Amino acid sequence: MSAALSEAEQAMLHDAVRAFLVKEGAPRWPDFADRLRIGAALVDAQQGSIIAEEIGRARAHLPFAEVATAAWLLDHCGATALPADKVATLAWAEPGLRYDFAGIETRARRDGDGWRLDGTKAVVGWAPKADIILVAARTGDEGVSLFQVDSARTEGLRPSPYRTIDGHPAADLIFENHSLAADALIGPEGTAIDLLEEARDRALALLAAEAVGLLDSLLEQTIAYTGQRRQFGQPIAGFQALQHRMVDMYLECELARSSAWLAVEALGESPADRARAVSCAMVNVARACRSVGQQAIQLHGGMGMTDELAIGHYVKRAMAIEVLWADADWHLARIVGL
Amino acid sequence: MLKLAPEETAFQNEVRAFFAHDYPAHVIAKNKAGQRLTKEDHVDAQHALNARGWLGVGWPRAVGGTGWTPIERYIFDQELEFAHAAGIIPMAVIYIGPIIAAFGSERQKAEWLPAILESRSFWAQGYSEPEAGSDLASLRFSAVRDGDDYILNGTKIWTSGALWADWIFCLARTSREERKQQGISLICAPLDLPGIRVHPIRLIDGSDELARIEFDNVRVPVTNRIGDEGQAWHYANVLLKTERLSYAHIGSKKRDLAKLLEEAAKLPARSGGTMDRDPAFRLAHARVEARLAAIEASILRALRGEVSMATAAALKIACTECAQTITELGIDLAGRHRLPMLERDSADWAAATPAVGPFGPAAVQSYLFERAQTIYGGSTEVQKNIIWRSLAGMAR
Repeated sequence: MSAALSEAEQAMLHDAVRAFLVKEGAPRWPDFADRLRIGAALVDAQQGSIIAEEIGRARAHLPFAEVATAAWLLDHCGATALPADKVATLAWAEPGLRYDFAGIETRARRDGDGWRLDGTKAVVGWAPKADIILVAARTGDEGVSLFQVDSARTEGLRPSPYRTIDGHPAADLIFENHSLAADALIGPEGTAIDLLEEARDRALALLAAEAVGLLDSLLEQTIAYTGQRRQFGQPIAGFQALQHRMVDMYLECELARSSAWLAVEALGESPADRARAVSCAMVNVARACRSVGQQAIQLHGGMGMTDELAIGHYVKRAMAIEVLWADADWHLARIVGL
Repeated sequence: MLKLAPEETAFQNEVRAFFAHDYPAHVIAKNKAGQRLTKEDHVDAQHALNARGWLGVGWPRAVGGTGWTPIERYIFDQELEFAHAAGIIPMAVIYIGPIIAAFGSERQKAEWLPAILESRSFWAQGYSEPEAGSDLASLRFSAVRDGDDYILNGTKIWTSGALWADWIFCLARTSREERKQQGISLICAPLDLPGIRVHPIRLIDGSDELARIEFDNVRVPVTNRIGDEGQAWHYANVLLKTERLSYAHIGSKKRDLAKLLEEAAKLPARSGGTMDRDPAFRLAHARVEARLAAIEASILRALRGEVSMATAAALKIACTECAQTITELGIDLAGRHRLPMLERDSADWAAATPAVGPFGPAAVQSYLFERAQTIYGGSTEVQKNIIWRSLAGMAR
């Protein structure tokens, strides 16, 4: 863990990331990681949230939250750290579970010194570009463990790559008797669920921060468009009905910003306090993603429906953020169950 | 009125039997599987309807229409949607057909209407422009008289079905002197004329069925004008009222809600079981059902009497927002299954994601596509202005 950044240092980090993303347009992960020296930020939530916010604002196609989550898991398990310019991602979701890690059915069984992996992972973000995939798999009847899979070793691994709605690469991964060396197991055997819960909350804090930048940009683009678009003899931003819709968007953006702050601050708390704060934050972030996205399209009229305009792509990223790790109903249920 | 009269029930059974036995099964199968229909599929579907005399909905019997009462029309629409049949592409049949029948010349009726019924011609609607969306009075598209011809110039946008269409009907400015709503004429042009260029617009759901169409000194005979010069605003308003009620789609809303429950039974829920037993989902589902019941009752009431512009506008808002809520329920149900973005035109689109049910990618594309419902045909904001104009009378 690095020391907390001063306000001036936070502003510098914001500026550096923003400047890089503006200049690069379509940044590649190794360049991004190298030139911004993001190594420490991968495991430091405060720095990470600043980077994530700027990624959201630029809607940059970067696997930041994925790599940060994997890096934190490796770090926490005392495994060899991944070089920052490598891409790593965590494969947890499966066809038979909604969001609860307890439903994981992918299975790893001992085979001599090593392991054999069987099961299906669904919609693994950035898997086609990943050097390392961390796979959550059941070992024995009770426990879930984490394995480090080298994505270049394709024997017994059938990937189906495709793009997700936000344009990111993803894949379904089918493991059939995929062999792993003994050191593929990271962390103690059978105790990964609590670790995964913490990793999820950290990933959610980064996604909340990304949503802040994304939603701010949606509001800014909408204000700019309605200021230019003329109908009925005036810019449509002159109509009070539309002004109030944009004010509602602003309100959601502000609450999302506070939610992201709440989520980051809560990461060091006890598991129950952390879960409550992160879930409260994400209920608001999901709502903001939905309503700001819908208003942005509506206020852009037909133009908001076109693939050519950025607005729809921002909305689709917001739709992905809503469900990448859990949806608002899951968070509400978690709050109720605590 | 929720109970049908005996003759209406008989008609309903007749329509139901038609879709079960005399309608192309491959069209229904494709629709059920969430695959996009081709133009040939639509032609097959229209041929079947026309063979039964049921394609010219909203047209008088004298020109080959069904001559149905509003309730018969409603029953037909609902059964068509329940059956997963192809929706009638509205541009020619629902929108311009009745206008040609009411205001067109004898020659236009004799040439254009049979071609529509026999699926020899598909039409596109040329209303919106880059600077005139819901504010149709700001139209710039011009038609300048030159002897027996008009010269058309300008750009039309959001033109549905333009890639399949043979003809387009355009609102065009023929005079600039009167009030902005005056001086607009309804002029038709074959889309293969020199000077017309069609540019597809790719949408956020990955489809490209809308287009922008540029007209550069396109010459059409004056006889292609429907009705009198400068009177299109009046015709368009007749048309818009029909168009707004055509958004009801109560049958497809009921069908889509039922489909959500079916899909929910296949999806895992939090802490075991399936999503059809998930309390949050069921409550959200029931909330939409209750809303839909009120909307259906409103439509039935409207069909029994004369529909005012305010009523049509209110129902347009209610129906389109309800449709959007259903697609929203769809992406909420899909959860992470909403994430893959697939090319639905490709034959094996569902096989590309072995770990994801095909419901999710279809749900997200519907959600995105249906965002347009509250924008087209006069945005929700414009409908509210229309309603307020009638409410304002009460304040005086």
